[in-house]
Amino acid sequence: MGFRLKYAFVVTAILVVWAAALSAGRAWILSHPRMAAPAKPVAVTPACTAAIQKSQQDGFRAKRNLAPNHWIREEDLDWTTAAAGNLQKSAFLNRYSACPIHAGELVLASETRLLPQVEPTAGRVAYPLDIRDPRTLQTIDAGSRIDIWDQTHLVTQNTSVLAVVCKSDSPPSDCSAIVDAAADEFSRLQSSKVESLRIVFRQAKP
Amino acid sequence: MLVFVVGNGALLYRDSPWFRSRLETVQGLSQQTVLVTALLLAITILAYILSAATSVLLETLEGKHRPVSWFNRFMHRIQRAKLGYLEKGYWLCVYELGDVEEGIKGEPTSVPPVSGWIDRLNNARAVPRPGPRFPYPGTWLERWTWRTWRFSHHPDVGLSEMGRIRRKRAAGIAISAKLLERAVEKLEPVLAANSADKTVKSWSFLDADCDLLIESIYFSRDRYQAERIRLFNLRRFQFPVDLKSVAERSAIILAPTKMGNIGGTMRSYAQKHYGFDLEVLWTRLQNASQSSDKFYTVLQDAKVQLDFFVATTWFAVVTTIAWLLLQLLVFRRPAEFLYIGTIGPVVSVVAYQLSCRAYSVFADLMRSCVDLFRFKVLTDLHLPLPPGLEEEKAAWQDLANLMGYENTQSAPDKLISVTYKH
Repeated sequence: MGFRLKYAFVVTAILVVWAAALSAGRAWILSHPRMAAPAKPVAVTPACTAAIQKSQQDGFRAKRNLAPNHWIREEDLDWTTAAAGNLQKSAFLNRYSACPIHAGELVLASETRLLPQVEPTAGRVAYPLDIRDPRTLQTIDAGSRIDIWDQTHLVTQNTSVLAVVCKSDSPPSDCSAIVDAAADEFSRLQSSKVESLRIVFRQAKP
Repeated sequence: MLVFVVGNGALLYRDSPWFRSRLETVQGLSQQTVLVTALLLAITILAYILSAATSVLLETLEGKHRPVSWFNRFMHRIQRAKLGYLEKGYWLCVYELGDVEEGIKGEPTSVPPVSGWIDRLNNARAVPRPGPRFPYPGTWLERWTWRTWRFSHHPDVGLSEMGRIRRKRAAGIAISAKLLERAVEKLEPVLAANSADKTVKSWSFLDADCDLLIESIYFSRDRYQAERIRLFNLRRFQFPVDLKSVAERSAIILAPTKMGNIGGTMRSYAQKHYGFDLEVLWTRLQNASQSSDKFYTVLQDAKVQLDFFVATTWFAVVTTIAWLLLQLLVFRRPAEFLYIGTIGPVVSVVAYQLSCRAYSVFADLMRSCVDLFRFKVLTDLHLPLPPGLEEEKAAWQDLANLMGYENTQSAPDKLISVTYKH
């Protein structure tokens, strides 16, 4: 075997070993993703009122913990609350929680907003992911954690849902879950067809 | 001193509220100023450490220290194979050059005398031989038809050889002596038979081919000569030793890396030409070279350039490894991991190649330094100048034995004698 052939063989062998090492490293990273830093909590707006101070005000009690940007639905609040006063359901329904609310805490109308305000973590983007399955729509909300698959390929893993928005609320239609996607996840989501995407829940509504 | 002043200041700033309040009252002194000062200081310290560590970094790339030396066995094989390939190419060139020159010259002293290729072709052109003429194709289409159409029954007039020679000549590739000889042997009888009538069209093509062949013979000789010199220089300036060890004892051996071998050529050159031991006498030679400001400046510039590329190589390697580990263990971004794993090694290899290039330039200057300033070393040491090369070699060897190896005997029963010249 001539020198050039031997040299080419050695160089190729080194390149192959290096490529294999890089592939193994990449596979390891994909199988051990960095736990996403918890989404930066939305700054408590001045409208948020401490639970003790709310006792004298009109509102409905929360049946469950409501994360900021939680899409308030019928089942989230106790509409029979005595402290409701003259408040109408419509002042709360299909609006978004502006403050973190604990179960049993009174929710004031001023603690809701018309649309969610999302703030993706540093280096990530808020990607609106189409939700077509009504069951998924019932399960998902701000604070959920999901995996997204494109047929057999994992597109994103353990991704935070920042909010859920719909163009029409009653009945809900044309809805999207705004997910906190890393740059590479964003490009994979963009290149995937909406129809082929499947959502696997790690954590449903908190 | 500056480091310690700033270090003590930083401790005071941290621990003494009085000092801190006094310092902060200085107009414009903000946290940013302190940060920038600390950064500049860190860069200054790092630059000093780096300049002190440059020789170690260079020696590591030469394969003298870990971690590069871990791969010495493997790399030595590669260097040895490279040297073998170079030597093989060199000797092939030498033999081919000899054959071509022999072909041009012929053997006028042999019985009967053998004419050279050029003479044979010119004689055949000048002196017609009685007999039938050979048909000779002119256009490229005719030549192609002759060569490819196997049932045409045309005589072999060396078209295939001339085609190969024409292509090689156009590409600037050396033509082997065997091919030239075959072409001469085939073209000579055709020329001799056809030269009787130089008015026919085919003669002009044949004559042009003969001119091309003669020109190609000269070109081939020059090409082999140029290649021989190139390979010789490549061998001498990239490898300190020949592939096979010789009977003469020597401390110079093949290094496991390209840089190590380029470094070794400085020592081998001085040792081989003058018996000058660069390892022992380098600092004296450096002192002597300072007598020429211009030369010393050029030498220093080359050293700075070399240090820069060596540092760049190390930074590239360390940065690549560090970021690969960081991506694997901390940041875990697969795309960036792949980018770093692809671009990092490329940058490292390019930086290493540039380091080798800079080292070649530096080694060349060092060889010139030995040529130009070695006698200045003797003068500086108050030693007499040797009258000839043999005496010079003996003088340097004695000096290296005395100064470097504390050996007072040049041979088992011969003491080294030094006579000063004041």
